[in-house]
Amino acid sequence: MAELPILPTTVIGSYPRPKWLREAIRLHKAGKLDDEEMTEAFNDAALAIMRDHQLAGVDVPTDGEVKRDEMVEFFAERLGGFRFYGPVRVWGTAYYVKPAVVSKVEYKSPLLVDEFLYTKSISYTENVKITITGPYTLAYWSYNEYYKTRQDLAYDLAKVINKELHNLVEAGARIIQIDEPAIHSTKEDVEWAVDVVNESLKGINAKLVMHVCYGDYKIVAPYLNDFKVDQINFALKIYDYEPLELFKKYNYSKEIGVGVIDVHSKRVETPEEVMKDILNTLNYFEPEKVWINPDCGLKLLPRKLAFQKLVSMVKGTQMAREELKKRGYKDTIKL
Amino acid sequence: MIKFKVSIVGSYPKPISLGKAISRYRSNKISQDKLEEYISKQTQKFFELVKNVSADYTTDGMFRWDDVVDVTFSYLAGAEKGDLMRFYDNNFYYRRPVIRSRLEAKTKDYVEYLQASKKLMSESKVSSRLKAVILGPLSYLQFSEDKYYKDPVEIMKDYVTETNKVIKEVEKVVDALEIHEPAIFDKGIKGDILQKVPELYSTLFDGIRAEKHLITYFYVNSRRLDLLFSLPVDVVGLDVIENKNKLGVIYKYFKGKKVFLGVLNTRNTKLERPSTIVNLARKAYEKGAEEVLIGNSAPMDFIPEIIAKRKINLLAKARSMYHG
Ligand SMILES: [Zn+2]
Repeated sequence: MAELPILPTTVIGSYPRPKWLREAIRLHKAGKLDDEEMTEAFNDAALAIMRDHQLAGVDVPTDGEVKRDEMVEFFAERLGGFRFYGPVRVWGTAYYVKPAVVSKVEYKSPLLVDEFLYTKSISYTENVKITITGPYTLAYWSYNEYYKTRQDLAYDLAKVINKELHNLVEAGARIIQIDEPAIHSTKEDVEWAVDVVNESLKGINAKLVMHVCYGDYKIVAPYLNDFKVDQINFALKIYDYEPLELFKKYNYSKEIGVGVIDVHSKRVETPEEVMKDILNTLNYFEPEKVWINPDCGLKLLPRKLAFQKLVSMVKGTQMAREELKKRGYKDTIKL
Repeated sequence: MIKFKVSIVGSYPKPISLGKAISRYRSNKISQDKLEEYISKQTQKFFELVKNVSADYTTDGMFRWDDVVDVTFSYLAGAEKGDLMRFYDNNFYYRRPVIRSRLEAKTKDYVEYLQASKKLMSESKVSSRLKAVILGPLSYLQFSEDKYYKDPVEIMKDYVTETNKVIKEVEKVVDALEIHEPAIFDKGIKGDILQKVPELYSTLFDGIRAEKHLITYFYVNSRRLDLLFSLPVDVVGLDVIENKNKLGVIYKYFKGKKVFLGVLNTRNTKLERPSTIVNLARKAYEKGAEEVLIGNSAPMDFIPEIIAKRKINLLAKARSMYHG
């Protein structure tokens, strides 16, 4: 069985796209780069990001999700039942594409298997992580024109995601992260949302992680132990670790991925600061149950800053490991 | 036969081209004049749509503003733009006003912007009545962060006193006022604050003759309907399309009132059926409403422009069905 250093470091998934990749995408859209050349550019970008993760010393890397435009759009484009009308604003002058469900959602062909196989082939470790947007978030971030309720839509999406997860496991995926940033958006939904997520994970034999970030954790806290995952990672740095009390209150007992890097701030955390934050977390959780990650995807940061933040995260974790050694802990854990 | 009126409410989706122009302007890459050109162009396009559906009332589409909270920065000094906050349960965020000093009226900017819209309107030969959008005092309180007053009622008092000065100038330009007060249904507002609201509205409208349309949207809290319908306004607006299960309670308040019905859901791309719209209007009259206005239930930023356009066009279709 694979081993990892105690306090394994990982990323949430996304990483800034290199500027030249954005340029290549623009050229491809303008018809000046053919599909094969575009694929090559995407693969090269994945290689570059994998190398960034390696240089920073991340234990469980991804390909930076550089091949995906956006976490809902990417899947909606590849599933049956979705339609796009155009961009909508999220604030100020920032836009995103929110798809509309106009007929029954359908799984047509694998969504991430190619991406995963390539990532695995270029990875410096067998412990790569593949991320996928969860059914509740897909449902929540789409317009529902077809299903009677959002719940009906989410359950159908759970079936679709489950099929994809089976295909990923078959392709060799061993660490899968299901992204559910919307899970705590609506109090009235949470109870069934837990069931929807679990439905999507049925029969999946892999290490399962769920990502939850910005919002009101109070809404989801009472249900955290009900998710059939091995680990949940959270944005915590931005909240100054206050939710740890909340998790304790509800006896959260799974592994926790602790967000120690604020991805919305351009200030680079120092390794000492990261170490201090980790040691504070260890007042709430057993070290064997703690993983270290940024609050969320790093995509919106300048690449240089994203890299520096990862370096700090890893250095700070190494310092915390030294401290654990002094306290008599073993320096590895089983995956 | 009694006719319903059509009223276009709040903001219309900003096309991405305008979004890009605004962000170029903010990073000093284009001039103010150039930005004004973009805004005028979109406003004109919007007025064409307004003309096509022969709307009785409309805003100017609010292309200049990020959101309904952003407008307040143009007519009040004392607050600065703070963190991004979620606008109800939408994937849409506004900058929270952080109050740092006494709130004070700034009349010039907002009036000038409205004058520009009014001019475009007459150039486009749009005969609809122009409404100026103002944020309600309770919503201002709920959406802002206080670093100065220490007392929520004091904030609202100054807000209405100062905004009243603005409205006095604004009403010289526009035909009606559209007060957005979605926070009236917010959970957890203390009784002593709610109690003050009618008095605050009296101050807000002191000496104001323009028509006053009070607009609320999204979730309706039935226990606050007494308060809502007691406020000194000409038209009371409710989002009926998202609150169909509460219509029984809502209708009880319609007798003798002028009401605005939000019949177009601006949070879903699914198009309403004109017959549904007509039935909602007819029912409101049956329940004793003195006059019924219909329109989009909330700001339109949550749907793509093409859908907003289709939805607005449904209003004309509903009217032709209803009036034969
Ligand atoms: Zn996240």
